[in-house]
Order: sequence, then structure tokens, then C-alpha cells
Amino acid sequence: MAVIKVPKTPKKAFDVHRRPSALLLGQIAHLEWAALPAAQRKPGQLPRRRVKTEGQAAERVAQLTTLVFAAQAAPREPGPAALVTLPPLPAVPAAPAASRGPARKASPSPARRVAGSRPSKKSHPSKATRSAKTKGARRR
Amino acid sequence: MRVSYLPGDTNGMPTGLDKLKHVVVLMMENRSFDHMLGALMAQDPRIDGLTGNESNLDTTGAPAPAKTQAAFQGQLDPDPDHSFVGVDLQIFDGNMAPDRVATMGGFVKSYFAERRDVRHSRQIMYAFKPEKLPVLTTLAREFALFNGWFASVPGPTLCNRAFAHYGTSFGHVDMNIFYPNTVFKSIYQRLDAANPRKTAKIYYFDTKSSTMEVVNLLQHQPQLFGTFDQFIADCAAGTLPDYSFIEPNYSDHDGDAGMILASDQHPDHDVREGERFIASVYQAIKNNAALWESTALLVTYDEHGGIYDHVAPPACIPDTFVAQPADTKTGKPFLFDRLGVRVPAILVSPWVPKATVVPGAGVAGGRVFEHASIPATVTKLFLGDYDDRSVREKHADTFLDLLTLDQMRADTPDFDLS
Repeated sequence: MAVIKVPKTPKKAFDVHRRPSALLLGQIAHLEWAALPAAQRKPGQLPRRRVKTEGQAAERVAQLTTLVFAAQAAPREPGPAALVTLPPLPAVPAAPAASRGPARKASPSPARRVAGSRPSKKSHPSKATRSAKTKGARRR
Repeated sequence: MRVSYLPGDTNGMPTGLDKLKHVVVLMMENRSFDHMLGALMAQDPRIDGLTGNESNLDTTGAPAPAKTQAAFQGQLDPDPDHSFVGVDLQIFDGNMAPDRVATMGGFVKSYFAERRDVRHSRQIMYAFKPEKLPVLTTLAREFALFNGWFASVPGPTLCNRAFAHYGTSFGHVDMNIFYPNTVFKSIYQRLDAANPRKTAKIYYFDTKSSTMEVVNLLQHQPQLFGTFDQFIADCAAGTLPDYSFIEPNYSDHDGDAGMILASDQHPDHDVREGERFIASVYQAIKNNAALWESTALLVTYDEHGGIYDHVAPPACIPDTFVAQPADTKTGKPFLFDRLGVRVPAILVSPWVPKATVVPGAGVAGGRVFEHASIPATVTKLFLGDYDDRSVREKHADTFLDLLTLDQMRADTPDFDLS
């Protein structure tokens, strides 16, 4: 049987500054929930603060996953669980050189090539609607 | 139910089942069947893909045809709507009548709402040329491709992944995974509690990607989790659990060795990295001869991600749970009596005849699968009779009867990831 060569993904695909998807925001919300003792969990209270980029979301996921595992590994003390304060959001990571501004300007994404120039964020008619809709969905 | 046109079908007991010791499921993100594999119909008419005549109307009333112009990245930004109400529009094209028919005609309109750009919205109809996806299309042509594997819920990721873990989403049609009152055990908990005990693991990519199965498993059963590096090591060492569920990398992030690309194929992540991830899972199993002989790998997607597919999701037996109008946002409750949009699904094993196509809904001898088929199959294989499961899982078809060959194949492909 022939061996099938699988092409490498170009480095320009990497973008830690991409907007985090609703999936990542949901994952963070649930990890934050899981990191708290039962007495501190209140439906609707999370997420408290939003991550702004996909790279920051990844750092937050790591932070919370480590916290949850550490809590599970710790010996259980009798009585009510101690109050847990979630750590602050990690900083937005810097992008590697390959994904920084100048390179992206020289090589625009296919979407922008296809769709042409987009209106600015302020004037984009669907932005406000989408933002409000997403916020509502994410609050739950 | 037996499949009528499987090559090598002998109507006897599947021989490969005698050798089967491991089931591995890889669940990718947010791509529809037609988008990824629909163009394969030109190579094999048994595949229920795109004829070239499929279209939706855009918001100007002009036809937007399905074209093989999908790009690896950039066309699906912003993320297409795949909330319950968004998928309802995609399936029913805005018709809310009680006797409405699924037309699959609302995809372009739904995507238009995300950016208000008519030209851009038509890209939701695009499909990949087969040569652009050498891994997925090779697996589809070499092993068993399901024409009728559907998402369990016409909604987003987490409720669909819940069906793969629990056989139900406990009434959820959204991204809410707060399941403090789960009334059925996950497949992992069932196996772990079995006598004799069976082994199971969810392998997530790394700590920065983590798992989407957060609340119950990560919190209460951390021993059921491992990383993808551990999966690779377990394959090499021959220590793979009886059942493994693999999660791809959900984010671009920095790792010890530099940039790590998301491999989940969730829009707008580059599809090529997902191809490489699928190939790496396949090769990890295949490179261990004993493991390859004794393992069945299912590659599937959690849901369609708002991307076009032409097959109307069929009705199914209602779950005992009901999603309320406040949750569906359609003004109506949902009884879990209809499946979600069709997704790619491929069963890989050296005991599967080459180029098997499992017929789907609406065809003589056709079979319908959904994500509840995963715990149903694993339970049937490792636990046998098991009553304490959801109605949907109890009625879900299982798929290991597709391992029909008497002799293991020696002609299976290899992928070069160098």
C-alpha cells in the first residue's frame, strides 16, 4: 500500500490573537465552576471576566485544569470546604513573529480576499447584534 | 439489522470481533458530511454526497449552489451559528408550522445573519475537493464510511458531546454542561465500575487544551483522563485502555517546543492540522501490530457547525428529557425526537472490507447512527446487557458488526507525517 504524504500546516495558520470561540469561553466557564467548592457555585455567576484572545483562553484553561486536578489530589478535610478564590486571568500572550502584524498584512486571509474590504467595527451593522446575542448565550 | 451491500458480507458472525480488544473514538469539531466528504460521490455513487445540483437561496433570493471551493481557513469567520435556534433555521428555512418539512434550505440565510455580507454567506455551501483532505478521504475510501451518522442534537458542541459520553444530554440543547444531577452514568464510569473492571480514558491534547467533558469527569474522576502524549505512549507500549476517547487540540497556543496549532478543525482553525491529527491517531495505532489487529477506531465530528449538508435529519425515538422553549429559543419545546445535521463518520479497522459504504436513512437496508451509538456500542462490546441507560442510547444502532472480514487486511494505507 502506498504511503500517503500529509502536508504540513503553514505557520501562518497560527494565531493566538484570534477571538476566542464560544466553545472556549464555555469551557472556561465550566472549568471555573468546577474549580469552586459546591457551596460557592451559583448558576449564572460565570464567566466573571472574559478572556480576549485564543492564546489567553488556552492559558486560562491550563490554569484552571491544574487547579481542579490539584484540588482533587488534596486530602479531604472534614467540615465545610475552604473558600476558593480563582486566580486572576493570565496575561494575553505575545504572538510569535510568524503570526505578527506585518506578515499577516502581506498575506491576508482567504476570507478577506474573497469578501473584499470589510467595514470598520464601529460601522459594521451586524456587530452589535451579534455581540448582544452572544453575550446572552454566554451568560447562561 | 444487517447491511445489504457490504463487500465481503457473509451474513455470519463478524470475525474481527473475536480479535477486538480496544475501541478508540476520535471526535473532531464542527464540520458537516457534505462539507468534508460530499464531493466523494463523484468517485463512488454509493456515497450520499453532493450531485452538484444542491443549493440554498441567499437573502437576495438568488440560488447559492454547493461548490467544491472550501478553503482550509478563512472562509468561516465569523463562526457559523450552530445554536439550537440557528440549526432550526438551517433545517427548516424559517418554517415554524406544526407540519413543517425539513428542507435544509436555510443555511445561507443563517450565515448571512453573522456578517450581513451576501457574498460571504454563500460560502457556507462550500465543500472540499477530496484531494485537499488526503487523510479523511483516504480513510473514507479504505474503510467504512457511514452515509447516515447524525449529530444527536440539532444544536452546539457540548450537548452533542454529552450524547457520546452519556447517551443523552439530560435535556440540554445548548452549551450548558452543568449536569449536577446526571441520572445515568457515563460510559467511562460504567466501565470503571464493571466486574471485572474495564478500563477507559479520555485523552485530551494537553493542559492548555484540556477537555470539554468538564464537570462530572474532570471533577470526580481525574484518573479517567490522560494527555495525547500519553495516548501515543500507551499505543507504543500496548497499554491502551479497553475504551479511549480522544479530544483534539482546541486552541492555538504556545508549547514547550514552540507554536502548537489547533487540530480540532473548528472554524476558523486550519483544517490541515486536523488532518495531521487524525493521521497521527491512526498511525499510533497502526504502528503497533498487535494493537492494530485488536482495535477499532471511529473518527467522527460532534456536529456540523452550521455548515451545509443536504440530508434532512431523521426523526428518532424521543428521549425522556424535554428542552423548554426558554432553552430552545424557538418558542417550542424540544422532545429530542429529531436528530441533528449529518456529520462525517468513518470506522477504521483491518477487519473492515475496503470501500465499505454503510447506507443511510431512506434507503433499503439503511441504518441511522448518532453519537449515542458510541456508548451503546462500547457497552454492548464490553458490558453486554446494561439497563440503566437513556432511551435514546438503548435504541441507538451499534457498529461493530461492520468488522466482517475472515482475514485481516494487509493492504491498509500509511500516512507520512514527516
